[in-house]
Amino acid sequence: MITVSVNNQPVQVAAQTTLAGALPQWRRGDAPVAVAVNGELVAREDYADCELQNGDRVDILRPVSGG
Amino acid sequence: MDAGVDGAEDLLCLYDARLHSRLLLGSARYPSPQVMRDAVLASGAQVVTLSLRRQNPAGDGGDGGGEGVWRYLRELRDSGCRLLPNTAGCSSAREAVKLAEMARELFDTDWVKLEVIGDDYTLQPDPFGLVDAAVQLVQRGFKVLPYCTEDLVLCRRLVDAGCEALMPWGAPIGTGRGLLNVYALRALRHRFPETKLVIDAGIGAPSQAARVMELGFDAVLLNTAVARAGDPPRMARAFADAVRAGRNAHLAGLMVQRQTAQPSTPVVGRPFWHGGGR
Repeated sequence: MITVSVNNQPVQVAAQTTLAGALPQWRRGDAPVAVAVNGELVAREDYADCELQNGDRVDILRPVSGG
Repeated sequence: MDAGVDGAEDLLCLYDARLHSRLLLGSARYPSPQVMRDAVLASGAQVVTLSLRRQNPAGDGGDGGGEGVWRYLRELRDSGCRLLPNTAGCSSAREAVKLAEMARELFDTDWVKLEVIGDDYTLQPDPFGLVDAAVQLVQRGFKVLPYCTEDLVLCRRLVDAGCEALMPWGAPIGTGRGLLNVYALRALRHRFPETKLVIDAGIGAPSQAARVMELGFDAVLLNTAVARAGDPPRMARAFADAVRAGRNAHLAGLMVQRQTAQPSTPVVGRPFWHGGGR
């Protein structure tokens, strides 16, 4: 197992887990999300190739109202 | 539908969009997402601003996010509204560029309302960070609408960076104080006749929005004045009417102000009992 930070919360996942594999259990609801790993945007088409590493910081952003 | 001075339909051309409405509306601070949706529809706005934040692990959390607000924003998008993501909360060019990239991924739009805040008390834009971010975003293919001050040289730098539209503030965000520096805003309009100028922030009353349009600005972007009204959809209609009235007044050509009175009724042919003494 490895530990990654998801929106500042420590989460354990199996080694060699990809973003595509982990994201469904981290998402809340149907709103679209954008994901950054260690501060860099990961495009949707690259989720399957993005293998998470121990200590990675994952940010999951979703829509909010704004002015 | 109103016509322009040449009789053609008076459309607002913002980058690749041709818009009938010159009122842009924010989606924040409404009593509920449903009221937000109703206000946007009542206003006729075709551009709605929104933002993006970290997903709250505990749920919606009352932070303006979650499924509720997205459901209604998506409904507006599907009905033809263009979503305009902002970079609110960013205080450096680096943060703003990263958030804009995330917004493009999330909302499938290359439009971004660029905000780089330089002072937390007044929420005044940081002119240096703003230009830095605008240069980078234009290079990356974004269509940038920067929230800026009325500073003429800042606006020149933003136009030079490739911004086809500017969004100078009328007054600090959420104050409702109207146009605090009419002199400088008039100068902007005069110096940038080809640039789309959208007054963003500080507009608190429909009369102020009408004034903006009378001065020849292209559009108005507001949020709080509608969202915090007692009846947001009704206030949204009031602003739409005011923006339309101000635009028509500008196109019609306002009269020149005078120092002295001038009778509007003809003075020739007055009856004999006028001017004959007491």
